[in-house]
Amino acid sequence: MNEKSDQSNKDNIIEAYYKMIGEAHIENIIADLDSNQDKIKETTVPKSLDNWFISFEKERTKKNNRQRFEKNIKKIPLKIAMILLIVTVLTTAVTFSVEAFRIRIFNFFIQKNETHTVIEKQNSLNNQSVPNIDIDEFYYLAYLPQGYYYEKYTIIDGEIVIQYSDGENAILFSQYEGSINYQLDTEDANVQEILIDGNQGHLIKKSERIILVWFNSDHNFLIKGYLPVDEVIKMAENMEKNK
Amino acid sequence: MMIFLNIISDDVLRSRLEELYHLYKRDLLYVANDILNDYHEAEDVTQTAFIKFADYLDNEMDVKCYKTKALIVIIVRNLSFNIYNQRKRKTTVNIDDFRDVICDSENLDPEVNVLRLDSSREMAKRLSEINTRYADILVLKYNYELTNTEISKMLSISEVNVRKRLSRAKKALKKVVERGGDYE
Repeated sequence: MNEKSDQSNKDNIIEAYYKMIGEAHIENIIADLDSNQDKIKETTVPKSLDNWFISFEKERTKKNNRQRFEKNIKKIPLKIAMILLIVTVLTTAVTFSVEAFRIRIFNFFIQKNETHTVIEKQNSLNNQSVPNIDIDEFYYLAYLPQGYYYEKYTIIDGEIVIQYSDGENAILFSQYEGSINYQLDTEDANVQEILIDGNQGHLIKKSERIILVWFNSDHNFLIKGYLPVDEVIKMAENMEKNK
Repeated sequence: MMIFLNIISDDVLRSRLEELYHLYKRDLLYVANDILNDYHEAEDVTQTAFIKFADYLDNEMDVKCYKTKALIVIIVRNLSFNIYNQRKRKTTVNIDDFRDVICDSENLDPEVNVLRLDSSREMAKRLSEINTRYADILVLKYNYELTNTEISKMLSISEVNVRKRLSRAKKALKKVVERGGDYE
């Protein structure tokens, strides 16, 4: 250990000595030049040397500019990536930290969903409740019991009969403009008078089958089907006119 | 911002090189011509020296400092010696002739060194008289703290030559010190 330390110290001293000799050598060089100043001043600098230096400087500047440009070009993708990363991080931070932004963005998605739901409901109404009948004006049942949909219609002597179905059972909705005589089977049936939207009607219940007949100022109506009474009344009260 | 700073830095370096050129062009031409005795070759050497020095120049270098002046003079002198040797096909001073009188140990005795520090300028002068390039290479290595690669590029010699020259310079210096400046 001591030997190594001694050697290191020795090396340091020797290096210092070389430096000292070097310093002295530099001083000698300067002194030598100073002593020859008269001759140096008399030295003529050729024009070609000055011209060379000017062109050398120009070339060197061009080269440095080109190297700097290439260096900067290489950094551009990195800078873009850094900017994108910063923008992404900032956007994310703002979105999830500022309540107003968060509500606005979430509302956007919610609104979308609501619109979608509304549209879907409209489609369902068209398919099931509003029959596609080639008549200018007619009534239809705006409310249908769960599972029922519009199936078909028939027109016989001015009587429009729209049929709804749930796949097994059918509901018949008949309408006729003017007066009409219904021949109804009321044997062993329970018949009661009823008001539908202030209009007089009759509810006939025989076993599970229900028939509701009523009329307004210009039309006679009939609903027939195997349904609970309240559902039939609800359908009648939610009748609408197509225009 | 970085581009702006780069431009400023480049302008500073350019003005330093211009200043260096205008300050020392006569000195360098004189030194080169003094060795080569040929004005055209001296001009070529001066050009080469500025090209080499331009790569070495940095923002911290003081152009007017005597150390900077000595460095570019050393470059010119060594480049001139290279050409001179090529031309004459012989070495300037053949220090190798003195190898047989150089001691085995490459390192000097530290105590002797310390005792003789006061006479370092005289020692350096003697070393320079024996072989200027030996003194120059010691300066480049220990005062300018250049690597062997940097020295080889600056003086247009191989790295092997740099190592050889350093080794011989140390041996020559040792001989000078041992004889107290009386080398003969």
